[in-house]
Amino acid sequence: MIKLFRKDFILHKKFVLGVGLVYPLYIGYMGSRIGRTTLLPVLCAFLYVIVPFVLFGREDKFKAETFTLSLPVTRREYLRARFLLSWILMLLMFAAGSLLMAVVPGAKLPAATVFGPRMVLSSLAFIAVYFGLLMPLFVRFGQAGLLVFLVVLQVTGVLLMVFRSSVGIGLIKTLFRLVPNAVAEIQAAFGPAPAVFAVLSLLALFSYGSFSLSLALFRRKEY
Amino acid sequence: MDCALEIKDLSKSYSPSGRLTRPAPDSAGSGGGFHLNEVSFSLPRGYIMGLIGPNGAGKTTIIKLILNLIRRDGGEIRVLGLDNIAGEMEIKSRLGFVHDTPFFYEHLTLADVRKTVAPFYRDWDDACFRRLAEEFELPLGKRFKTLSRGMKMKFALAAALSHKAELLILDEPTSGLDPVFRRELLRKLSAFIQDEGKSVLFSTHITSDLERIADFITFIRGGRIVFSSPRDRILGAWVVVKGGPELLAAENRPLFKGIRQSACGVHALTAEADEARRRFGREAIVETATLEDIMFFMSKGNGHA
Repeated sequence: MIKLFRKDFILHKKFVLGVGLVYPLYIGYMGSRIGRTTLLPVLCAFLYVIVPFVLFGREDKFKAETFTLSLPVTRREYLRARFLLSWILMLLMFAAGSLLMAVVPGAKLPAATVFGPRMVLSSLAFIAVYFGLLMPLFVRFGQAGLLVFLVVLQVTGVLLMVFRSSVGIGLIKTLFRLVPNAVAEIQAAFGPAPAVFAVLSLLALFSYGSFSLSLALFRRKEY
Repeated sequence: MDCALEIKDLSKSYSPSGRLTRPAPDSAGSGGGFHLNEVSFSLPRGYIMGLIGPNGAGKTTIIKLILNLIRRDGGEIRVLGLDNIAGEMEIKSRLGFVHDTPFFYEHLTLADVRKTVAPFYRDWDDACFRRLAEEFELPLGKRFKTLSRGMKMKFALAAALSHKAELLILDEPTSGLDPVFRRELLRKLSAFIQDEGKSVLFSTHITSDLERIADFITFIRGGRIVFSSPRDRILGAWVVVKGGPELLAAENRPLFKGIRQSACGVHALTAEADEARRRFGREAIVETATLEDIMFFMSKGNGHA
């Protein structure tokens, strides 16, 4: 695992350092302009998730995977390193971005809200969901997987709008609030700690599912 | 026999839309697809095997299958006594490779590429790498993308030879190399197998290289093995018969593996040297066939009906 991290660091160090300095500034400023607690995690999580895929896209561009996979490394180990590296990068971006959001003068949300458990948990949830959906698509389609993801989002949006006009907004809201409501009920019944544990467990399960699917696709990939 | 590589009934198919191979007209393609058909051969430890065949015959596919870069449809591959999938890590750490297109991280310097590669091998010998880099005149401070194909190949070779590999798998390593370095490489490979138990699988179009160093030759055409035998046996058995049209008499045709007719006469290839000398010794010229002759006559359009 360490050797794969080391390879990625040598391969991307200038890019990572450049992005690591500039990108959180951008997210921090943009996030500070958002005043809605529901919108902030949805938008920012996507910006955090993009970072590892830009990195992996560079390796795709150099066609260097053929070379890497000829080295003594299994596909499982290679993919596990990618998942871990992605999470490290996304969490670092999340931490830096949130910190900047809170300290930018005139920020629309107070630091207590930005770092509140609800915001942190929902940001983590969106990061996990976006990443968990994107990774199998990236493994299967390479950089075009990002486009597939965006197209799927657009189509889903259109379908929801159609659905909304035919069955009303109530059902869609119910569907969207299914998980938050379940978490709220757990919190009401057992307290905040079990609720947080339930959310994190759900995210871990989802990520594991994404890893398993990605690995199955990766094992089928030919070079 | 102790084998460095054993391939048994290996098969692999691509659909016509398969993006991995573009079979040449003389390839395994049928209806535009590609089929590697129950390929079997083995390379004993301590020897060099040359893998030859026309473009699209399946040489690179076999090498990619050995390295588990593509999935086999059937058959078995054992490398250094281990299944190439179950023992992937162990095998790859004891194996050196050079791909036909040396893809590395193009924007890195050679020194940086070395830093990324070395930790993957438990037996990486940095002193050996530096010695080879010096010998091959590799500019370690230069970016990979600025190098010629020949220099990139040299770097790939230096990396492959620097971790005490027991088996070298080289896909067209001499293409793009100047004749001086080609000879040097062949000398290196001969020296490499002097160390007991080390072996080389070497795919190439430059058959003269193999005539110099290979102990075994495997000829693949259209996804099928035509022969896999010791070089001396092949060069002793295969001859080209040069004569007039009388060579094409019906009773002679079954003897020939390939025929070429021109205004100058008839040239025909056979794997039965003794029989050819007995039959045509007086009326035709019987010459030992080179590997290039064999490839040429056995290619589509030159074989007899």
